Amino acid sequence: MTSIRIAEVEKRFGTVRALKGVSLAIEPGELFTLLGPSGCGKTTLLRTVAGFNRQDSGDIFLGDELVNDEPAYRRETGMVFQNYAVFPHMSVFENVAYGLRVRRLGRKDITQRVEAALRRVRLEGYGERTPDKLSGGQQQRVGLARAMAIEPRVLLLDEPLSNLDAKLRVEMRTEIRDIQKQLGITAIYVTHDQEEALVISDRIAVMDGGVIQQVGPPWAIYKDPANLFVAAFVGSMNLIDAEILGEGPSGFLRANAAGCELLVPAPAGHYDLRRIRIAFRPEDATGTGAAPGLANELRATVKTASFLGSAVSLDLELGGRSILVERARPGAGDILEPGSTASFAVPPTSILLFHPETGERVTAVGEEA
Amino acid sequence: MKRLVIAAMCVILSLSAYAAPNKVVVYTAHEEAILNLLAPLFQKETGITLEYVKLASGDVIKRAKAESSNPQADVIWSIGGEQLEANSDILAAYTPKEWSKINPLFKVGTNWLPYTGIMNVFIINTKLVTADKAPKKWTDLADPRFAKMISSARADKSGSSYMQLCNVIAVYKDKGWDIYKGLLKNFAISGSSGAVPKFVNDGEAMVGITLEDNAYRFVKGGGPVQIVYPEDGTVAAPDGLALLKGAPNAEAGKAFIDWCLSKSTQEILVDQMFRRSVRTDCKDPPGLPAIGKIKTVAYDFAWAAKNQGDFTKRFQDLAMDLGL
Amino acid sequence: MSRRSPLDVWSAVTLAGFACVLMFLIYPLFDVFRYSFIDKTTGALSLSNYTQFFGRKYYINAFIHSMFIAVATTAFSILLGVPLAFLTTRYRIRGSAMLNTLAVLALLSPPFIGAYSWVTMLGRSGFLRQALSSIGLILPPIYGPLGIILADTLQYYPFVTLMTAGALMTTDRSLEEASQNLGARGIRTFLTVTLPLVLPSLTGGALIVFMMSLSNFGTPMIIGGNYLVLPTLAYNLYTSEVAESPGMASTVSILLMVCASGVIALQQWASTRRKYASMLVNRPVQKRLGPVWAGPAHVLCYLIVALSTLPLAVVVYYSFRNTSGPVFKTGYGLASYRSIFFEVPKTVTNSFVYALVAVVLIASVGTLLGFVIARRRRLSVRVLDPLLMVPYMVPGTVLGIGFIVAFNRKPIYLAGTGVIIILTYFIRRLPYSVRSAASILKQIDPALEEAGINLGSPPGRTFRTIALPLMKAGIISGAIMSWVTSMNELSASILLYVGKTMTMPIKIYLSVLDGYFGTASAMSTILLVVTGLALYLVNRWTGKAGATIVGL
Repeated sequence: MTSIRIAEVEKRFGTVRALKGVSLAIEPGELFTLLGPSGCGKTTLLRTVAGFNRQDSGDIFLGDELVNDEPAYRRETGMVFQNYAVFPHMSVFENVAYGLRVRRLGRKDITQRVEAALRRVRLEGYGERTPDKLSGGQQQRVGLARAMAIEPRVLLLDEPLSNLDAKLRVEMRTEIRDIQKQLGITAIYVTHDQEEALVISDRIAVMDGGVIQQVGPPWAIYKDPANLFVAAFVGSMNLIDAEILGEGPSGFLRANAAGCELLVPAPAGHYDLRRIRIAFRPEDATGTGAAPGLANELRATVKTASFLGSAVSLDLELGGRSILVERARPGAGDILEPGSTASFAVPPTSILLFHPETGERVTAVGEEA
Repeated sequence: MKRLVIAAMCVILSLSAYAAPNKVVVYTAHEEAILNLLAPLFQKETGITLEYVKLASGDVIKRAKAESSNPQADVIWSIGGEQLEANSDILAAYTPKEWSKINPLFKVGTNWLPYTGIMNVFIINTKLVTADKAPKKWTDLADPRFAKMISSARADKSGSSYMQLCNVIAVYKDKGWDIYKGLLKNFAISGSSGAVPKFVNDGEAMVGITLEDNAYRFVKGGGPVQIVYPEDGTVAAPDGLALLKGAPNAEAGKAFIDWCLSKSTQEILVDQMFRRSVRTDCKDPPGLPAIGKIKTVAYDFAWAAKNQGDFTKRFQDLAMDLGL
Repeated sequence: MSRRSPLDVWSAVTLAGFACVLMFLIYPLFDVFRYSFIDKTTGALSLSNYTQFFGRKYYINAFIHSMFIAVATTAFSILLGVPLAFLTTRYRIRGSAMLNTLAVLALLSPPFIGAYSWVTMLGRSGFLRQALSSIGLILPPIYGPLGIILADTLQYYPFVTLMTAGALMTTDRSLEEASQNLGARGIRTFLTVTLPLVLPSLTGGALIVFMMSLSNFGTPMIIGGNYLVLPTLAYNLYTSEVAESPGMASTVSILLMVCASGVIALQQWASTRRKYASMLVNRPVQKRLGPVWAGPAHVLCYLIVALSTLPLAVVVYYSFRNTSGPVFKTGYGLASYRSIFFEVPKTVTNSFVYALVAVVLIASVGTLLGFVIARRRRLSVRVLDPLLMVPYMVPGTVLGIGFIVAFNRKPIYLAGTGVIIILTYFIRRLPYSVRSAASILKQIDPALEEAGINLGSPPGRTFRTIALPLMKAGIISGAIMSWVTSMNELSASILLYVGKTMTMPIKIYLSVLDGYFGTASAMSTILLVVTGLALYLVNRWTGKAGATIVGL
């Protein structure tokens, strides 16, 4: 089991700074996800770890070994590619055996390890097939088996599921996690799909603009985003501009949000902004309905109401912003007409505050945790 | 991949290992048929191997000049006298054994020797031009009925075409250029002078201006063609033979030159190639009129070579005006 | 992959590329091109040649004519070449292997003799023209720009066919299926999906056509009438027997090169702007044509190939005509063959050995350089890339003269050897191989090679085990083109050959020079037969029935 340490890594492509001094420490055996929108630098970082890019400055350690000058083919990383990169001119068996042949293993060893790898990805008996006879999901299994067969120090997965259909994606992500845990191998997983990241990861690093925005376990990333970017990128988040009116009960402030007075948690330390951005998740809204009179209540105009069976999802308009709330186990009267007014409550402890310009959290991160 | 490269290198190396003694290397514009005839004969008679490189006559000079710092050939054989005259600095003077037998008319070269006599003639396609409409004189070629139907090469490119230009000027002196301009208007330029009689033979042109022996091959071959000697005069001039300066096999080269000018060789050229001999003791080619019956004009190589720059410049200006 | 490693294979390849260019291109050409900047009368450094060029309508006309011919030939070649490539790769066309062999043979039409064939057919007294006029179809004689375009197109379109077919074989089938699935009909799918996908290769082939017709002097010389184009002008100036004007000649060559560079830049822009890499997993399969379309498709394919084979057929026919000296007589016989009988073994062997050695060098060096160009866009490579295209644009005559001077003095003496001929073949035809390797690589996703590297295979091994097998089709088709055109090389080797290094095209040219078209035709026929046979064998050896075009 190998740890990965990335220290102050910078990478420029021409004038574009793709990585701006990225530092990360990944624990042995961890499934670590780099999550972010396209162009955020996550793939660049992964390829730098693999050795396909060379960083302009900074260090990369696999275990205790500094691998900056180690060429890609000596890094002993197993990579799984977004578009599978299965060698079209080789059979499935030969694909998986490729790395083993490079390592000059004996014929028996190779056969054994290839078969084990294929078994692990549930492709036993597919050895003699050629890649053009395989489905996308099977091709990606070959890619995975091939990367694992060499028993690499770390596994690098570059959006491995993004070319698969939704159902297969869901199936394979648990499979990948299972295999990774069975092998106990350290893995970096790159994805732009936040749901996938939340499901699969031990920890997630959210990236944007070549900078790590936040590192933490899925739960913390979701519940306790460090800034507006993370808050908005992972899951849905409702944002409302508000004005601080003054002190409330201990630990709370009073705020005016689009004409409604709300209690919001007081920021840690001294805070003197009057304008603030408040945020809450759709599922944290309670008591959604036509009837007003709730504690910490917001009122908004209904744009659409979608009945989802187990819940009603309401798209509301509040102070010029779009707000999404849900009501679980809805009654017939809860499917509100567009144009009507809806009321809902947001518990003060569920509300997050962000700096309106910088987007940074102004409640202490991890306060409620 | 690497193995293939090595294999290729080996083949290259084995190809470059080569040597042969007692030989003479010749650059020539001679016709292949005659080469096939003469080369074995020379070898048989002298015991010297003849290695020839056949090229277009322009390429002969180009190549000899490019190699002049380290000549690869010994002798230039059968190319236009003007070119040899113009490049006499890469040639070595040599007086052949039988120099006294050579017609003094042809002893005109600097560092080069006369080889055979050649002559400008018209070749006519008899299917396209009836005898009464055939051109008799150079001036007839300016007639509009031959518009774009006269095949000839460019005078700034082909030695024989330059000789035609000089011919017209030699005959008509000051009026020469005006007359030549009239001809040029009717020209369909041929890429190579060798193809001129072929075009006439095939009916692609009515008239061609070419060398006597070139035209006669088509007559002899039975093509629908016929030779006309211009009544206003044709030049009879030698094509040349020369030893190259710094020739690697100079002695063999001299032996070759002597052989070329010997009576027996010259007679073969007369019989087989329909060339006129430069010797005083050979007959005329069979089937061709004796040289005395043809109106010839003197051709001054020194004059032709001296004015070459000027004349070709004037030719190019004319050609450019006509868009040729 | 590490940039710091001094022993990086690819840096060595780049270096070797520079060495080749320096040694076999810049060194021999330097002297020749120097003259373009020297005033003829004063001998001083000046641009007088250029002002003279652009000051005269004569030169400018030649320039415009050249461009017109090259553009038109390229356009028509695409028009003929692309449908042929598409139909033979995507659909089952009966006898497509034979069609391909014949199309490639059209490339082989030996210099001059092919053009003379057209004269024989469509000249003033051309038999085809007369036959057509007897049925009321009056054609003008072939002389002039249209004739040049006709002859050039029918000779060079196979370049487009070959390169396009190579790419069509490696596009991802699913992309076309996706388009059809979205409701796009055949033609629409072709125009909106398939065509853009193969555009880099298509334009690569078109570029070769453009270059060939821009630099071809043989055809315009013979059937141009008095329609003057730049290569004829340059050729006349260079080979002018009398007036020496190397200044203007090299000026014309340099201008030709400048035009050519512009077009190359355009092509590169067009092909790098669109970068479609595929995993090569879903290769296209050949479909059976419906009953309605099968007929027209076959007719079209056969018509295109037949037209381009026509000049060759004429050559073969005339090789069996009886002759008397240079004149063709009635009746048939083997006289023309008999007269070259003793030359045949030597010239055939020479041509084969030189072209084969050259093509091994070309294919190996070209593939490596093509890889560097497609995969490693660093500064040195960006400089090397256009340099490698220079041999396209240098007239063979110029290169020939450069070689005589450069390799007949210290430290290298190669005059009179087969090596010098091989080297001219090598440098003149290297660009094909580099282009076709690079364009095929543009279709292969670099992730495949990265996967190999990632699995622990060093760059060299990855190239050998992954890139090379995937490029095989492209390499072979590039090698075939190089081989065919090397077998056919004349303009440089004519200046470099000696008796023992005589090749088939030289022999043909010399017969043409003497006016002996019978022997020229006989030698051309032998050239066609042996090349055709070799192509056929390669075809058999490399490909299964349907996939042959790439093998070709």
